[in-house]
Amino acid sequence: MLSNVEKYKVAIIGSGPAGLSAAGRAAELGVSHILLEGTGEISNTINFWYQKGKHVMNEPEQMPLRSSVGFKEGTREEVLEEWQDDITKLKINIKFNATLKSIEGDVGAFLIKLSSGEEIQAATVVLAIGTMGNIRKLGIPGEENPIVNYKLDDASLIKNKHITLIGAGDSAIEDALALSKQNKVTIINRRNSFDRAKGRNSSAILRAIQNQEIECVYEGAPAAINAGLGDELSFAAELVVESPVGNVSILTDKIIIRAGAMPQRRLLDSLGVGFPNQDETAFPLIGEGYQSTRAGLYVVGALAGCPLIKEAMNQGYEVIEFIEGRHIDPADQELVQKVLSDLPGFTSVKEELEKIRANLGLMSDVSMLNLREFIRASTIKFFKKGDVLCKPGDYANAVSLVLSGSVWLSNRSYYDANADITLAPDQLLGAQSLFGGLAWSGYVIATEDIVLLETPFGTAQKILSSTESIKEKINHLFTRRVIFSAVISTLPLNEIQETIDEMDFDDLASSTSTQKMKAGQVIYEENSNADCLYLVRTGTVAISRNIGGKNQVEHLISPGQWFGVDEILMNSRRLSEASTTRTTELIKIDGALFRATIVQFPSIEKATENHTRDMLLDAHKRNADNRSSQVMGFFHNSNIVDGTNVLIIDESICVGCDNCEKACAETHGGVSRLNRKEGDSFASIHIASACRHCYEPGCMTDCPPDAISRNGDGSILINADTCIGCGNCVTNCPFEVVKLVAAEPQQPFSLFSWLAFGKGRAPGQEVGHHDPKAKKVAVKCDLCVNQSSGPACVQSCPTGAAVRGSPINLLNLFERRSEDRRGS
Amino acid sequence: MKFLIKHLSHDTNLQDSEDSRSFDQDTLRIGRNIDNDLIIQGINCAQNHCVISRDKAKKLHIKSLSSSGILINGSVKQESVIKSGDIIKVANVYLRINQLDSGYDLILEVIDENQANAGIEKLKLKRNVFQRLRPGSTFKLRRLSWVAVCLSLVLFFLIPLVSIYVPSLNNFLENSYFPLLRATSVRSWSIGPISRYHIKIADKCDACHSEEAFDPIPDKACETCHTDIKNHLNRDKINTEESRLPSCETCHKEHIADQYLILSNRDEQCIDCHADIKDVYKNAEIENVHHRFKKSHPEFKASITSNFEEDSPVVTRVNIDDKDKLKEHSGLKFSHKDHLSKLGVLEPQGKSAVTTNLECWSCHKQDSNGAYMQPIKFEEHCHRCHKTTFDELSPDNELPHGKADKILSYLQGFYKNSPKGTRIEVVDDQEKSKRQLPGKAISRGALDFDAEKLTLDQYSKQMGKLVFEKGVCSECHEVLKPNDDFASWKIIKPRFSKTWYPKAKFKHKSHQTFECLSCHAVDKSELSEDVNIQGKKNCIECHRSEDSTCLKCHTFHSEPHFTMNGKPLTPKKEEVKAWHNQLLVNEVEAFTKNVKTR
Amino acid sequence: MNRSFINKDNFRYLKAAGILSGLSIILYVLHQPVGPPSGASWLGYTLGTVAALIMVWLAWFGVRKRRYQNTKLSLNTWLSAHVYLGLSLLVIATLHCGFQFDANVHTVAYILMVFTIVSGIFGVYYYLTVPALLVKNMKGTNPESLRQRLRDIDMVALSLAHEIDSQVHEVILYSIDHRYESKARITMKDVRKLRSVGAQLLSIREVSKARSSEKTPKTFKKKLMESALSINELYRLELSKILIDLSFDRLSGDKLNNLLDFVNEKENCLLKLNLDSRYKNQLKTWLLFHVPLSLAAIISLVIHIVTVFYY
Repeated sequence: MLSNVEKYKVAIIGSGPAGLSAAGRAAELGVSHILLEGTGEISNTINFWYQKGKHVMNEPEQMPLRSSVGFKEGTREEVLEEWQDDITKLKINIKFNATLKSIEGDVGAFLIKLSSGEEIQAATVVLAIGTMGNIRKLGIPGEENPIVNYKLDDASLIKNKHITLIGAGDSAIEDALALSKQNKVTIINRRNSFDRAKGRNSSAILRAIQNQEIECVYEGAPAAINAGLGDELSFAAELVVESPVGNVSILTDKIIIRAGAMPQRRLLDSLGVGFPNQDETAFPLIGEGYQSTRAGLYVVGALAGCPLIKEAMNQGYEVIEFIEGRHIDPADQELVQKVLSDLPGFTSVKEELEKIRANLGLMSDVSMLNLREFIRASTIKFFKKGDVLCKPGDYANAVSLVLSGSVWLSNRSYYDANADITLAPDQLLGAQSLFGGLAWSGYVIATEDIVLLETPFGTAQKILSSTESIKEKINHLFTRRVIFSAVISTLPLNEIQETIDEMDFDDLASSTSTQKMKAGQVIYEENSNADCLYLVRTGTVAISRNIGGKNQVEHLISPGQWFGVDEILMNSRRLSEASTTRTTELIKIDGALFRATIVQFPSIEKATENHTRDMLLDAHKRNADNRSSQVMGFFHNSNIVDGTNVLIIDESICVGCDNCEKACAETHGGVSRLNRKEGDSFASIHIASACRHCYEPGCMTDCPPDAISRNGDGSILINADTCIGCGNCVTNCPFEVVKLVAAEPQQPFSLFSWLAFGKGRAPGQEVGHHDPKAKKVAVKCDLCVNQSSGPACVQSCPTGAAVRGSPINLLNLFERRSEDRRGS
Repeated sequence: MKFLIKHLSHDTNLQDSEDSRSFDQDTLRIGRNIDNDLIIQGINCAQNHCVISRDKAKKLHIKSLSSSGILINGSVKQESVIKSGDIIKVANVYLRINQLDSGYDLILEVIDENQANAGIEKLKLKRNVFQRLRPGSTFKLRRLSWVAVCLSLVLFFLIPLVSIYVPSLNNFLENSYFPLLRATSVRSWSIGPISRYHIKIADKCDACHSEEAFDPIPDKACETCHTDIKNHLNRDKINTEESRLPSCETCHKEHIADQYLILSNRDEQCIDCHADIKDVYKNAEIENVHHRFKKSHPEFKASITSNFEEDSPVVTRVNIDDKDKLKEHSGLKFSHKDHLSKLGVLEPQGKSAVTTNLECWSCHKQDSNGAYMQPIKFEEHCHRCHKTTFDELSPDNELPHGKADKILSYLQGFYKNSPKGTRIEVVDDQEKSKRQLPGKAISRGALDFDAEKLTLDQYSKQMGKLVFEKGVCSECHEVLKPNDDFASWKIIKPRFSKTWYPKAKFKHKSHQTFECLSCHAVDKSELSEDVNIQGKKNCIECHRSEDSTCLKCHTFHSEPHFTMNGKPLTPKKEEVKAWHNQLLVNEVEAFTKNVKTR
Repeated sequence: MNRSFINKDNFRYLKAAGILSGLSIILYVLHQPVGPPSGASWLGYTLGTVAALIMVWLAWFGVRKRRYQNTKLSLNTWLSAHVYLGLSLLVIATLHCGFQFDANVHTVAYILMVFTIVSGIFGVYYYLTVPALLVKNMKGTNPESLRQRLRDIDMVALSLAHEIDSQVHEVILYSIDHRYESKARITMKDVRKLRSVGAQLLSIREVSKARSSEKTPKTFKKKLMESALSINELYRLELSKILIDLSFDRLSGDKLNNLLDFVNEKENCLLKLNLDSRYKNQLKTWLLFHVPLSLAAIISLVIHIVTVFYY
């Protein structure tokens, strides 16, 4: 038995960039090693999940590559080929089809058990299994048939086939919908619903099934795949599915299995890797030298929170160095130093990092690895006393940590030591934008010379939210700020009569509770008891009233606004019903405590009451106008209240010239970022398919290179230079307005030669064919930031049918227009 | 008959595949039923859709088996002859007929609809005219636009251009009934109608427009025909920039209407120079005129002729108010006052007091033009009363009037036959002022010479001197006596200015309704020196309106007006026609020829 | 008035064009030119220059419309100005020529300009009325889904017909091949064709009946011809009748009922699509006149200017 057990110094699990690099370094150093790969080929993620010919980027560019295995920017095939070559060159000991089952024993003598029953002994184990997990296979006879696939490269290439999809997740549904346009599609669902998928996907598939566009076998369990007869008339294979109605035989040309991947967390938990929280997507706790909480077990690569290939490779290299006992500086040492060396009195990277951890309460719990990443992405900024850092209405693009000095948040644009309203001096700026998608509500002024560490959102969010304690602190800070801002916003500056300090609201903030709700849930009903008020943190809340048996939406509450306050102030029962329109996070504030806090400040109390009165008046005015209420209901249903800047077409004056699309294509490299015809309509209001610059941009949630950012005016922009074309934003956008497009220089053309002779391309003509090898980047509406005249679509609409703006402004515009129409 | 059915597939995923089946039979049946040769799946295919057969001439026929017909090259037919390249659509499938020489009589290529839409879009489907004209394609808009552009270029530029050189075409176009055709003649470029005076050269644009393009009409062009035109300005003496010089075109506008050929109702053109005439013409003696007649015309100046004695009388311009200088010495002794006396003048025969009242018109008669008065003639107007008798005893003998040089010989002849007498009465110097009554001969008086002693010749001379000096002639005329030699004595021939205002045109005829005296206050004029005309004020009484333009009184060109080769023109339609026929045809031809060669 | 290019910037361009025309009229009345009022006086030249510049500027709209980069004024503003200045051109150009018209290139230029403006007025009318009609016609749906619905109806109707009888299937097939979107407008000829197809399929007795029914009174025919809607109705009735005649005794009442429903729905869809494309054509057809006319007007304007100044 024992002779069967192979012994190594290092066992590396996973042959992705990190694992491969680690194995490469080990091989180079002559350390006895084994690289275990669960599938039959190296780098499953790149090999399998990446599309054919996908351009692999060399991000982050300034980071040096520190690896024995080569890596250059190129196509997926080129990258894989280079690695394959290096494996032979370096004589890496690689074992394929070795799926990890468990790791027993302790440091120095781990016993790695594989699914195949084999066992491997290793002194240390490096986990580089990535985050994608292993493809879940069916494990049924005939699965090795070449017609069985686990992914779909390009649905448009498959035509007139009968395709069977197995799975009920988002990817299965998306594939099925895409394929059903040109093929006959059967989808096999193990259960009897599609509720695991996103709402949009599940409703789409249900509609398709109802329209008989797609056949569905519910509660079906694939049992076997039998090869077809090869006859011209019959199909390539037969899939036998067990279902409640008995065995179903499906004749099919292609089988696509989309049963998802094995979740990693359970495996990691079983391995004894510690996590900061229970979040499924959290990254393991990593200590010095990439060591996890289990001694001798190292974690590198995507699993260590490094989704970028180059970084992962560097980690692979470094982890071997650490195991070998050499404490080398991380590869990013120079980069971190470059950032920190700007600090006054800079000594060494290590000391400065320690100092930051010690001085900043927020950062004390962050691991060194994360901190380095945090710093690397950041820049140091200096401000003089009295400088205005932010203005109201600005959206922060980054969070800023105050390293030294202090700032004040104020309603005034200048620094006044005796300011009436003093906001809490703060360590973190930009939390509102980071967590709520809210614009600044006041001025941020430096009260003395300050040093700031400015960090882009993506990095900040990833790192700050990975630690529960930081999350809580930020939460409190955010809640206090939001309450305070909401209170202050009701109050004109010149009406302040008393001293107001943000810290006065600290208790109120501590007493709040956060409430997460799904779309369409009722928060409170009409005539129920009112004992609290709410602040919308994210999402939107519809305030509606039952009028004539019909539920009519009166008002929509956007993030940063509160509701339910009227009843508290008036001491009445609920006047209206509140319900969520999408996934919403609420801050629940105790009514009594709120009153008690407010009473301290007579002018605020008065202003709040006035505000309430106005709101009531406004609501009743709207009520009188049934149509406007309908329009608001439509706005609400079509989710455009999610957006900060929405493109709406007034169909009652739209002549369908498509100039908006042409203008967009012409100003954006020949690809229109809007689709006039698509989208919902109500009466003559049509929401064109175009980016809405959401409060909570789905596209921004998972952008590896942090290429998506919120601009100062609220617009969401994609940086084409840093975009790696991963397509995450495309899938994450609920409105399907982000596209992957090959960046190609637009053909120059002469307008006059086209006008006169039709030579060259037409102005605004979409580029038809793209070079399939060209780098693809994500594009969407950028509100024409580079054009002084504003969005080209609006600017080039001859009749003024196309308008862009915030939903509330548009609502007002349409109300005005319909009034005008009635008047005329 | 051999058939081959070939399935064309371009599925990229499945590699290119072609599977084909061949048949050798008379007909090929297509439909959904399984007993067909080509079975087409799909509910939108009839069970027996159509059949392909071949006739004796080896032509292929297709016949529909269902009432819905077959879609051949985009049009629905029940039956048709088909040939290579035709496309037949059955349900979701396109069938392409291929009769290429390949051992088969017919190769039927089966193409799936989706593929056809993707790649074989070139299948030209017949579309009717209306479909083709449907909007939406800029190409069509562009084509229409080009048609419009080219059409307007050809119609309104090219054809007129050609018709300049092809008179027959121009004639045809010009006389066309259709306005659009007329609008394509050369005339269509004309900005307005040609006046009838120039009608004959109307279609010869380059008769006038001969200079460089975009230049105004040169005066030369006008002067080609209007050779005798005299300008009132001498170009050589004018010291102003060329652009300010008036050209013919300044005042003569063609292409508007007849009445505008001479812009008589405008003063601007005149004032343009005359507002500061000294700038324009250094030697100008006239004053500036800034406005119309009433407002700023300077006081009139009369042209006063002096030095009548000499052969070259001197004409001076005298301001009408300058009473001292306003004397015209004409050599005649005449009092308007006496002649127009209310008491009347004595009749010549009547030694009694028979008088007659004279009127202006008794002597002054309008000339045929109606402009001026006819000249006063001795024989007609004076002689009846003022006889040139010199001998009381022979009252029928009169000295020849107007022939001073003949008087001596006349007297010699007279006294040869008559006695040298003492019959001549000499007027005393004291009584000189007393006028002889008309018709009275020289009265006898004491002679300071002895008639008897003198020879006939001497006597005649003495008598002649008396006639000249003291009677008959000097009664009305001034006598020039350079020395004592009677032979050198002369009667100054009375000369009058034809008009005192020669620079203005005036017609008495137009002013007939006025009394003569209202302008000529001769009833108080005792001397013939008096210039009996009034100044501006008198004219303004009536000529105060806007109509009183410069050209009302002044002419730009000096006389003769409006001439062409010295012949006065009185243009009337018929006359113009005749004139054109006689004169212009040749001349204009010659002229245009000249212009062209130039 | 919710007509943004009409009341853009509170009728700014209407006011501007009004002032321009008013000024021209006042000057024209006050002006005493040499000769009759014409293009040759200073006012004539001024008005002519203004009119020519406006014309060129108006034509420039075609270029401006296709320039999307960094535009100072929105296209909406341009359109507003385009409309009003174009209208003011009627006044200015008429005053420029001083009402002198003749069969010449100058008048041709004027007439072409007037035609262009008139076609533009049609365009304005369509732009103002058609979008609302489009929305009203579609009533919440859109052409694409109607087209999809048409395809669906065709397929479902075919399979239904197939289940009833092959002859019924044939009729439905016929109606699909002869009744599609681009052939949404039909004539009596189509109705007659359908009738003869029905007649072929029906028995001899039915044939004679169908033939006799073809002898519709002339006045009735005329009435039908007057309205396309009635012909559609007639076609639908005819189709329904044939279907009923063919399948009446085939014990498929419910299927037939369904089939007839589909036939009805299809005709309704087609009517809607027909209206939709008619409206959309209206939005574009006027341009087929406007653009070539405007170019012809510009060309004759150039000829006008060259000939006037050449001589």
